[in-house]
Amino acid sequence: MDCGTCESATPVSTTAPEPVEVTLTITPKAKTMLVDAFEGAEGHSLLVGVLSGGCSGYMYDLQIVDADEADCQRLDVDGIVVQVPNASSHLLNGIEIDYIDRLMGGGFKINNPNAGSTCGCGESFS
Amino acid sequence: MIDMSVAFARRDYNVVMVVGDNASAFIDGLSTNAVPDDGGVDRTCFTDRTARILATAFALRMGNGVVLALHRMWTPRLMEHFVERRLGQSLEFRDLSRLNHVTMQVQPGPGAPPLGSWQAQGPSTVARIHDELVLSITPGPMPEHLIDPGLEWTRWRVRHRWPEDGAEVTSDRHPLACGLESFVHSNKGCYIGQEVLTRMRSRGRSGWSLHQGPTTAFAPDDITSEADGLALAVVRSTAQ
Repeated sequence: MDCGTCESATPVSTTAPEPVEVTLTITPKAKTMLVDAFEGAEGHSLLVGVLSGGCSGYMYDLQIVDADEADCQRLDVDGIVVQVPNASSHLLNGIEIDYIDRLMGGGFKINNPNAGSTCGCGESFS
Repeated sequence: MIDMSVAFARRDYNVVMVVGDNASAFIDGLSTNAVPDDGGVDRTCFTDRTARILATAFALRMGNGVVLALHRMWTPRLMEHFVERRLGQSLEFRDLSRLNHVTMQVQPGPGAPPLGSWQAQGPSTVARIHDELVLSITPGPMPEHLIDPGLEWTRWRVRHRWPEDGAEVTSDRHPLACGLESFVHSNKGCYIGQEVLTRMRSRGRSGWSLHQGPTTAFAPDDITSEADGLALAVVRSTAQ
C-alpha cells in the first residue's frame, strides 16, 4: 500500500510570495569595503540573500560571487553589482547595506525596514 | 493496571514529510531539538521568536527527508511557517495523513527498536519514543478495533509525566513550561526562539513548569491532567 513517502506522492500545493522589484542602498563605508573585497576582479558581485533559521526566523546571507546566480535580480548600486534572489526579494526591498567598524560585532550590517525585530547578535531578523 | 496489548488510535495525528537535500537543515533551523540521524526519532518543538510553541512533533529522519508525526491542532500553522521560510530552497512538503494512520502503544521492556530509533516492521514504521512507548505509522485507514486514547492513556501519561498536545502543551506556553525541557537542545545552534529559551535556562527562570504529584498538592486551576489521585500541573514558581 502506498504510504506516500515515495516520489510519486503529490506534494502539498503551496504559494510562494510574489517577487518584488528590489531597491537598496549601500553606505559609503560599505561601498569602500566591498570594493576592497572585490580586489578589482572583473565580474564579481555581491549576493544578498536570506536563509531560514536564526534566533528570529531569517538570517542574512552575504556572498561575493563571480557569476550570475539563477533566479536573481541584478542591480547596479553606485557601481557595485548586487544580486538578490527573487525568492527572498519581498524581505529585502528597501534595505541599506552598511559597514560597522569595530572590533566586536563589526562588519557588514543590514538595516532592513521590513524587519520587525532582530536577535541580539544582529544576524537574524523577523 | 495498563493493558500492554492496547494500541491507542491517534486519529488526531497528522503525518507530514519534508523532502529535499536541505530538509534536515531546514527543520534543524526551526526547531528546538537536533534532527536525529538517519534511522532516528526524537520529539522536537517549533517555536516563535518569543519561544511560544507553534507545534510539537516526533521527527523521524529518513534519508533526505524528515517525517513529522504531529497532533493535527498544529499542522496548518506549521505548514504556513514552513512555506514562509522555504525561500526558494528545493524542498517539498507532503501531507501523508490520508494515506497513513498513527498509533501509540505502551510497550515496555527490551525489544526493537531501541529508544530514539525507528524500524520498518512489516508495512509499519515503528519508532520508540520512550522506554515504554512506541509510535507506529502504518499505511492505510485506521483499523476499527483500535481504541481512542482515554483514561488508560491519561493514566500512563500522568504516571510518566508525559506532556500531551492540547493538555499540557499549548500554544500559549513555551517548551520549558510544559515538560518539554529535555527536547530543548542546549548547544545545537540557532533556531527561532533560542535566545529566549537560552536566557531562561541560564538564569534558571522559566516562570512556569510542569509538575507531577498528588492531585491535592495543586491548585485546581493549575492541573492539566489527572488520574487515580495523581496529577500533572503547570505551576508558576513562587521562588522566581
